[in-house]
Amino acid sequence: MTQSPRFSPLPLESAADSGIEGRLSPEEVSRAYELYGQDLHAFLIGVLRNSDLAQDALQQTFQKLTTAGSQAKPESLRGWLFQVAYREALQLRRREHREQKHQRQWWIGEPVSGGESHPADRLATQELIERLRAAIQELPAEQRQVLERRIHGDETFAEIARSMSAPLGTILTRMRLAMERLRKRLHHE
Amino acid sequence: MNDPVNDDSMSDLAQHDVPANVSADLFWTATRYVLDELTPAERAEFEERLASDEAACLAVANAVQLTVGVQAASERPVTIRPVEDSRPRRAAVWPAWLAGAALLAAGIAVFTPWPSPTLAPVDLASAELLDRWTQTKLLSDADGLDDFDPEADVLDETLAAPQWMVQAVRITTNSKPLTP
Repeated sequence: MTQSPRFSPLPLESAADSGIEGRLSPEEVSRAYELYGQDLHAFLIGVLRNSDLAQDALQQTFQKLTTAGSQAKPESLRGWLFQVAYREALQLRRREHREQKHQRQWWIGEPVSGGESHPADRLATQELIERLRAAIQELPAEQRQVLERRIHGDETFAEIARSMSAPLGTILTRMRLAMERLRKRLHHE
Repeated sequence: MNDPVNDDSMSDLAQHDVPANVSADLFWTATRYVLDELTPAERAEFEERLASDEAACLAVANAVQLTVGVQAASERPVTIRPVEDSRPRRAAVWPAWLAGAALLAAGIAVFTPWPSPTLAPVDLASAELLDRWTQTKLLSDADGLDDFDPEADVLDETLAAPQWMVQAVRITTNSKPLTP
């Protein structure tokens, strides 16, 4: 199994070998990373707005899983991971605020180090991008315009409304409809 | 001691996971959260929800993935940058106007199939070349700007535009109605 250059489980012995209660094996942690790493990474970026901090929080989350993963029930492991991730994110954010660092970085899947990147690392795969590109072209023109200006052009909704001389509510509705159409289109394919 | 995690195959976890229902309303709130478009009160309320609501967390993850994907999908191969207006105004006027006209013509030529045998459609790549040519010429000919005579009927050869560019300009002066 390809190990991600961004995340590697701690070199622990399995719980059975070490006799340490609560620990998961590296294989189990890696498997959880494959299943949930992508969503967790995206979630952390949404909370922290910083790819480096998100990566730190992700690492710490899976370290917690390694040491205390047995506390989570299998049917609720994803929820457990989200909770841990969120707490880690808040701690990092408080620390960053204290250090007064402000960065905005969006990471769209470029591996930081050389070598093979793990599939769970990629926020936006090439396949997703191609599907989105086609779906965007099928949006009504007014929805596509707002979508691209807000996301690609980075104007706020208020700025878009002013420049288009349209009510803010209209702009919000167009964006909401656009995002919902894209989301449904991707989930139904 | 019964280890609930080690006793189950990890490959079954995805099936055992209770699916988190991300409603349209929740997804929209998460999208606004990711785009930093919530009010401070809304943001505080939503972040409180994130602490315990798996569906909300998943909605944020989906919003980030979709937003990043849209950003990547919307990346255009050519970006037309405005000419920096740092040179003497009289020298900068016509290149910027020319660049704008060529861009307009390029856009029209691409999307309006004119049956003009004398003009090949100018694509966006050519528009970028025009932009680059404009900036390159202005930067490399900076010494000649003081000698630029806006009253001259014929442009100096060193500043003469390529033929395809001249043709593109002629399109905009044509009185033929344009339909997208």
